[in-house]
Amino acid sequence: MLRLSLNLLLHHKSRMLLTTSGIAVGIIVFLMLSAGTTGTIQRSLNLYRVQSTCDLIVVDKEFTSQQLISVQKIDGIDIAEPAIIEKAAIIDNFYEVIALPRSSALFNIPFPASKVILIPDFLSRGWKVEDNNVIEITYVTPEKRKTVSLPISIFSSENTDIPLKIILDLETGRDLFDIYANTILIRLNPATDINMIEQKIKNFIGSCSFQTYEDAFSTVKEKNQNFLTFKTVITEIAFFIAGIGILNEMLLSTDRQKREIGILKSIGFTSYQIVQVYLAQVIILGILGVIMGITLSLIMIKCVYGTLGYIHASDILVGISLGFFWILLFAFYPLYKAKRSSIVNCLK
Amino acid sequence: MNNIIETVDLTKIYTMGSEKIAAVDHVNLSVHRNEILTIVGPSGCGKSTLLGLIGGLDRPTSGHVVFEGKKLPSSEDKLAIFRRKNIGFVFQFYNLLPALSALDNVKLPLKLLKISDKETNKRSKELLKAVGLQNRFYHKPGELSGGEQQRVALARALITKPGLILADEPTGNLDSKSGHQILELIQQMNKNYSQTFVIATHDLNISKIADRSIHLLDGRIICSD
Repeated sequence: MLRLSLNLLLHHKSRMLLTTSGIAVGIIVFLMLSAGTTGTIQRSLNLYRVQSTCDLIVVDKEFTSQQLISVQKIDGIDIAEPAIIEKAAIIDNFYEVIALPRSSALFNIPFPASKVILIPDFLSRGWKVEDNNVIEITYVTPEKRKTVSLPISIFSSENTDIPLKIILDLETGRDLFDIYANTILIRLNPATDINMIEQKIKNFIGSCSFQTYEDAFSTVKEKNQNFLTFKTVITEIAFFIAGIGILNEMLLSTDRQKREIGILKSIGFTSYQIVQVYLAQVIILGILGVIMGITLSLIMIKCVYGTLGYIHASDILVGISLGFFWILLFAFYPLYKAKRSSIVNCLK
Repeated sequence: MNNIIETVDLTKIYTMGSEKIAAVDHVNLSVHRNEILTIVGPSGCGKSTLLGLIGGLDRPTSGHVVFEGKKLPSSEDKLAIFRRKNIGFVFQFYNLLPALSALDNVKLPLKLLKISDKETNKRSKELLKAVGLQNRFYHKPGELSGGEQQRVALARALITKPGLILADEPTGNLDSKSGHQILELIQQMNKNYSQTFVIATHDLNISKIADRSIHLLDGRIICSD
């Protein structure tokens, strides 16, 4: 039965090509959007990511070094670290500044392979590695333009050839960007009353807002829910358009298939066996479309985003399911119509 | 039992708009075992419809068909199994699957009978040789002449050794030489394999090979000889 399905399928090459391409296009759109959304989510979550567990975040408050030291000395606080949280850092084509966990550091900036970084609009500047030893930072604000060359040795790097992260110490960052930390990341000692700590912090630095790490995390997730909805809608539209193409071709080829079905029925194929023959075709087309779609998607994601890290197995599984759902929906309607026709009509 | 097929008041009415047309009108017919019977009549007289009803390709509006003493089953799937085991069809336009080779087209009905690949292969090749296509096993229908395609169709109809072969204008699309060859083959198969042939045709010459002929006009049998 499988061989018969394959032979019949290979005979209709245009249908095969169109259907597999339709599925592949749908999967590519879905996975590209997934990768884009995941990348955005991941980058925005990085905004809040800290290397040590954080119990409380003091936000929306600029503070001085003296105030920070006072907070660090509060009983019940294990660690209090300065950070900048740029809430609007989810901007395409910009690399966000990430909240820093280390007490001595202010900026932790992902450094791209292109060796040129743009960081968010509140800083609006270019970074460029001049050679292996010096990084040139151009910094422009409405008030001033400043270009500084610094030896690369002052940067912490996970990669000796091309640094992936640049970490500036607090004083250098402040000097370069004239920006004070606006956030304190706090880890509490066990069994510390969080309300009491909040009150004491307010006593030192005045009125301010507090968030737990979970609050911050869920805020980011909530913001990205819109992306997920957008992704789902666009994907459905892509599959629908691809499906219309499949449906059109399938309806055009229904005459040919009607004849095939008529011949098979006259020979003695039961309805169940005919469904088996065409179901096998649909599965073969689905598998080919899925393989083509996933392969091309991975290549394109690697080219566009520079990493496959933004694509998850669950996205691929959803892409496969959607591909098969649409192919079943659009491929079976014409067959259903043909199957219901009488043999005499099929053979006319 | 001498009759392989009997039709009892067999009627098929088509509705076209408000008009009802009786393509087959109360036909009572008996087909004897191992005979060649031709159904002769002009175009549109109901020959193909009658053949379709006898072979279970179509359902009658009233009346019924009895095959070897039993009424044809009513469910689609049981009819399919009935056709698979008992009937071979030969059509005017061959109705071969263009995607399959001559050999695969002939093998197809045997696949449904769950016969081993080895046996299927052997029987199909033998039959294709018998119809003179020993050099055309792996040719697809598009690569064969009309006469050759009809010989493949004949081989496919015979491969399951059915009791009854129904042929609808088997020479209607062929030149006279190829048509003659097909008729010779039908006679030969009828003798060698003791199979019953019912042939629908508008060509009176085909009646020459028949043991018996019936004449149809406007869906009714007008004479039998």
